[in-house]
Amino acid sequence: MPRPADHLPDPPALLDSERAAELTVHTKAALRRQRRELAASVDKAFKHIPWPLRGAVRRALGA
Amino acid sequence: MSAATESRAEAAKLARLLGLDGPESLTYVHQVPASELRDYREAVTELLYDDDQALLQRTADAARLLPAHTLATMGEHALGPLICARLTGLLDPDRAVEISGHFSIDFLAQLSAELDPRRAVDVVTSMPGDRVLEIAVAMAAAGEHVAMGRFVAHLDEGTLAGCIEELTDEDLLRIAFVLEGKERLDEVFELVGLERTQRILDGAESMGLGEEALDLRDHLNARQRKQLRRRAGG
Repeated sequence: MPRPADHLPDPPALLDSERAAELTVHTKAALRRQRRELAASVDKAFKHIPWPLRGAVRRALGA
Repeated sequence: MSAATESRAEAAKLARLLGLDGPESLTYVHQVPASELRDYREAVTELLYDDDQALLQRTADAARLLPAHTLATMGEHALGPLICARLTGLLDPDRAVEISGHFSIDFLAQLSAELDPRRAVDVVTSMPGDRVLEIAVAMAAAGEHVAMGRFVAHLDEGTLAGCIEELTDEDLLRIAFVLEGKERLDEVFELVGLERTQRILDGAESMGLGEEALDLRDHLNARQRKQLRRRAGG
């Protein structure tokens, strides 16, 4: 199911189709980069949580 | 300010938001009216901030379970500046400020460069002034003038004056060019002072910032421009 955020904004109308596509590629790349960082970083962050608290944090994250 | 100059300023902000290698990556958008570029940038900001909002909110909520220094360690060594910036506005402001006290200045500068201060106003305005100064100097050293331009509207006069004193003429000119809310530029340059403003304008060409200097001059008020003309007249 597409996320609401997958509805990318339309590029400015004045751009030709090639440039509009290029701008959209950059926007998608920024979104993918953020998603990658979030997924990788939350897992990595667990190493820094004291053992006794990890279960509570996992439950709070819904994991 | 010419339409092309306005578009160039907006292109610089959009390039920064998209994480591109400098505004030269988007020279083809200079033909687009600045208002349309601004609309596109706002829409992309919404997209980035709303994405994975549920997970980010749960992460911010889970932060209540952990001490501030542990959160700071997690932030700086695991989550990184981008994710921490997204989380900043989701935390209780006092808690966010407390956590920030455990971050290194370099990390805070990187985080601030990713932050939309409008989404964390209470955090930004609650930061101690001396900490803000340190962050500003670090951001300027990293060339993050576009990001710095977003914060000016949220700084009190004392902190702003402190930052102006610490930053170079080139920094001030670059920030002025990409300032969010340029209607405030003349107020900012009251704090800079006439003599330094003249020095900035005189030195602009040698810094390769002639267009930026013209833009600054256009945004000064009539009284300031008159005073500058008088100084130039001797």
